[in-house]
Amino acid sequence: MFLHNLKYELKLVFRAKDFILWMMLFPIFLGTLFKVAFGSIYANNEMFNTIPVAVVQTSENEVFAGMLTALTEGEEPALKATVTDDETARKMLFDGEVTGIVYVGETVELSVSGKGMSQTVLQEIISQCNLYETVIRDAIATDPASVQSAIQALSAEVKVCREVSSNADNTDVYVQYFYNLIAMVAICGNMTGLHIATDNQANQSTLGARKNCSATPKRVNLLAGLAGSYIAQSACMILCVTFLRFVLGIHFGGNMLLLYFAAILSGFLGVTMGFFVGCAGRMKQDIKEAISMTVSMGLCFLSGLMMGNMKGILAEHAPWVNRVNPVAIMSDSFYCLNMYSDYRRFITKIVGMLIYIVLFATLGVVLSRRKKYASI
Amino acid sequence: MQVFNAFLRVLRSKFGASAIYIVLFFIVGIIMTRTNSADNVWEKTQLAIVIEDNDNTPESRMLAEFVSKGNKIVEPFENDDDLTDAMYYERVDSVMTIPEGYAKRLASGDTEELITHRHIHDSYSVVNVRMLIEKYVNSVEAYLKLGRTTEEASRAAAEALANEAEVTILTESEGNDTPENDLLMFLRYMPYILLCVILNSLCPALIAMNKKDIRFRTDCSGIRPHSYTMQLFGASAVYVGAIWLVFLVIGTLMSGAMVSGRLWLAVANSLLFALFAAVLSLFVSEFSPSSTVVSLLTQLVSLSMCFLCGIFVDQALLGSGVETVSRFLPAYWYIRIIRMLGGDIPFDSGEAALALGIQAGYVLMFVLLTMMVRRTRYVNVVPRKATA
Repeated sequence: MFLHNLKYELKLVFRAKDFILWMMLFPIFLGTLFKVAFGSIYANNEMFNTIPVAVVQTSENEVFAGMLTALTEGEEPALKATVTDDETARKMLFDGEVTGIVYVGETVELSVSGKGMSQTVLQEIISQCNLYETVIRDAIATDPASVQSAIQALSAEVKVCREVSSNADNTDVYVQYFYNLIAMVAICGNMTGLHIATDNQANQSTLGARKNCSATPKRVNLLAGLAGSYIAQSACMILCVTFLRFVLGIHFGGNMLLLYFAAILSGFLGVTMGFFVGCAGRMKQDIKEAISMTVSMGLCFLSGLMMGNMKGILAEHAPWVNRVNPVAIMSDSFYCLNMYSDYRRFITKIVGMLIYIVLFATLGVVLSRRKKYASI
Repeated sequence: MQVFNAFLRVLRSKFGASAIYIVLFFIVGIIMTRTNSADNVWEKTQLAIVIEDNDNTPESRMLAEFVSKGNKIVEPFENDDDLTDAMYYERVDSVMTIPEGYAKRLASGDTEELITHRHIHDSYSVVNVRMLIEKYVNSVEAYLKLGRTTEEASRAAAEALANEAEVTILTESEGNDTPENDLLMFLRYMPYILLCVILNSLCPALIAMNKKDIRFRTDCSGIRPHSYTMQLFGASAVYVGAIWLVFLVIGTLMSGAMVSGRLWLAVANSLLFALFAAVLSLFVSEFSPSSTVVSLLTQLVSLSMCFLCGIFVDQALLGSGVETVSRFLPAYWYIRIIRMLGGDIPFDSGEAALALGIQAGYVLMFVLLTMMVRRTRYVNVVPRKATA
């Protein structure tokens, strides 16, 4: 009976063409869009690149002229300077062609169009001019003969820092949007899970009323429904990961087989969560769908789908949210595969997902048992 | 007015589900606005640094004090995994370790790889930390050449480095940390909220009105199809107007801003976008998708539009290719006006009018498309002949 029901459940799921199509189109479309939008942000905006500046000279400043030459030369210069007039410089600034305008006179001043780390770095670079002037002034006051050695010490190209960087596969912080996209596809599986529950409740659908009258035990119906949805959702998850990895070329980092495993398990969690929402209470189906969708989107928001820094903000102010949010657990499992060479944290996340799956399935089954309908 | 009233009754019956969306996206709007508020007064972007001082000498403490000035010093993490997470999510930019023997090596001029600098990204922040350390150490070396002791040189270096270049922010509306900016920040995220709330709440009601049975009954009545369509449009406009007003009032109260001057342009801008969301709902509903597909479609449209057009990620960060594509979307023109009013780009009344015009054009286009689809799908339907 279970296999019979499973067969028809699968037919039902795969014949709901519009839903399946959307579930498959969804990651393809959004993934492509993310790739277009974020493909080069990390390399172009996050990673340090030569900073373009406009230089407006109001009078001669020898110290700055010397410094500017040093900063704009070499294989990877710190600055790319365009000497121009004030009007053009402002236009360049507002058009985003330059990060700032350096006004050179007796003193050196900087104008920017916004606050940010690139502007702060630019200020630090430009401030070197003031540093040189102060040191030279102090040197003249102390010992004029040592001015040259002091300048040499200031401009010495000594590598003061021993750099220790991460051994992660991919440090691109924007890849987390793709982790969250996979998690979103998984959590959207709650719609199929919700339908299993409503299709087995006599007060929610005509199909549910017929099923309740049949001789098939409810648990068999529910288990077959869940198994069918798991299979359909797994197909969506495999397609999603395959498309992102092999068509768009997103480098997730870590073991791909484990990534597929985590994605499929995430899909199971999404379906089971929807099943639980469907079984809880006697609300109308559209209310349950609204709850399911809003809760999912809320969880996706907290996991950083709309704002990449959300997980970091929560880690600082309410770290427990990241630990209990199912979507955050899903995306963290992909992240752990990328960042950590051992599987300790990945296993923790997998166990977290399993706990949720068992919890939602048990609660769903318990809530759907022994329901009586006085009037349908 | 029968269709108008009937539609409002259907909307009321489905208000429970709509209220859930309104509440959630209201909360989302508040969080987004609060975490991204901006003003036009220059201040350095703080670096978040973990400092491990293994030397613990006056010289090492002076270096730590110099680095911590104006920056955020994060307490060392007990767990290395937490530190890695913090660095990945950019809550911590880097970890600076001052090794044992720092003061001695500084005094002897042996500054090669003096400080250990741990990080994940090769970002501007990391470069900034590196630059701070190098500038400081080189300045100390310069003062040592002037015959100062290590402690004196460290103090003099910190003083010399405190003399920074003056920075001003150039915008159209200069130097104001005003409630108007907070309202603009709220309005910036309004397209996402409007698309999600209106599509999710209006579509189910419209789909109910488009159900075959109701449609056939209406077709048999004396109401002309044109009047039916117009009443449906009118009722949708009233509902959307109410939703828009609720969110606008919430945004205004939250920011404490008084809508005046150019802010009216932002208000008109958001109203036009709300109308766009309404006509998009009307258009989508004509195809009678299932409620699940409506939810997925809503997410697809809202997320893609908001990411491409620079609502979630700053428009300036997106490449020129993305900008070329996003010009074909109304949210691009919406955010363009918000950026003009916020001073991110120069205000140009001609361009603002063009942006409003393009959004109005989208509204008109979807109205015409909806009417065309209605005509094709419903008006020209020939009932099947009854069979014996």
